[in-house]
Amino acid sequence: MPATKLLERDEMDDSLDEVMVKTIDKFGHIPNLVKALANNPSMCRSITDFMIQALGPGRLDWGFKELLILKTLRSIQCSYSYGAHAIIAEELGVPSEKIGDVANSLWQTSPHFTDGERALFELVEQIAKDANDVSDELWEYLRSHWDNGQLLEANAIITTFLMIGRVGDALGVSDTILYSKKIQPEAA
Amino acid sequence: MAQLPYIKPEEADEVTKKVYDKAEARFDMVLNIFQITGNAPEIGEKMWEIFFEILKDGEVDWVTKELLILKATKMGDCLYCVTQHEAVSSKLGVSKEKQQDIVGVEYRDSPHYNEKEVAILDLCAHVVTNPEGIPADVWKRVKEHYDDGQVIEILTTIGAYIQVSKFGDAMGVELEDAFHGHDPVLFNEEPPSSPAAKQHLEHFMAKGE
Repeated sequence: MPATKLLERDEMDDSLDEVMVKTIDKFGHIPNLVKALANNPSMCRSITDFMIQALGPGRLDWGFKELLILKTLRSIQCSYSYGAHAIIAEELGVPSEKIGDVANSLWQTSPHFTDGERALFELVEQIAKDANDVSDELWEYLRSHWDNGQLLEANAIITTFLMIGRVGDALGVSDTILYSKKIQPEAA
Repeated sequence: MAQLPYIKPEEADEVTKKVYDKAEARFDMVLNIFQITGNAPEIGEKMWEIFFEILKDGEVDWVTKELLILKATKMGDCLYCVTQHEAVSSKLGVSKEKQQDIVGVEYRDSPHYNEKEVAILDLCAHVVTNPEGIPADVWKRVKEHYDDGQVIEILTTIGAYIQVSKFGDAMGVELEDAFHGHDPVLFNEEPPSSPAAKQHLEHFMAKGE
């Protein structure tokens, strides 16, 4: 049983109306994590609004962002929403070989990834291990493959899922499906 | 040097300028951690809203949230966050002695902490290290004192500061000049466990001399 009550739409504070309309529009339903966060309208509104922005097309390819999320959750052994993000990646057309190869250390030698992608997976694992110790060499390499906006986005996605994985697991909530509506790969 | 450029207010686009104005109104300056998000305005705009909500009284008071921030970021060896929030905590009236006792499990037997605070600091330590393994006893003690809305505020404060501390450290975001000369409280009490963080601390101390 989750650590807090999961609030249904009609139990939520009226101040959450706008963000819940956006949530249902994006995902097709209200994920359980959002139902738990709804116990605190201010935190629910700000976090959900950020997640709606962060999940989807951006400066990085959406499918690749999903792989970064999977690698991040694995790197801290958090299971909240892992399966749901694997499904999103699949629906976005990411080959199953890639989804498999981020789950462990195979990404290091996998022929399915570009050098730039591998460098970002290295960043994920280094941040999980010791964020204070990301080398200048790795950053130099990252900058030779990605622009500043893409690197900022990648770092935001990685670190946000260090939060979401932990909060989801601490609360004991489960979301096996995040999108109950058809994913629109190009839609903002 | 940070690994991505700081986008100065005069170089920022309209979205980022609004974020900077809000940050300056709240914290008297546009901190480096805000300036680095100018590289992707649409992310900074939404991400910082979470922190604007945390850094004020909510269903949990701001002072209590500062204790969680210090605990979570100290456990992650984040010199940037710990230094900033030692300053904020002091401004909000948290004594140096109380700040010192947040390291390790000192707070459990400290006269400066009550059982409500001990319960959520224990929770915080588990969320940082093993969120799937939070002992039932810890949850029981937390829930004796806090309702569901407060539990969400506590957990999201811890989570958000794990996020922003790793976000800043990974990019090498530096403490602003205004903090040079700050005498570390928590790191004097218990040095960083990461060798890289130790080096950052030594570098920071040398700058303040």
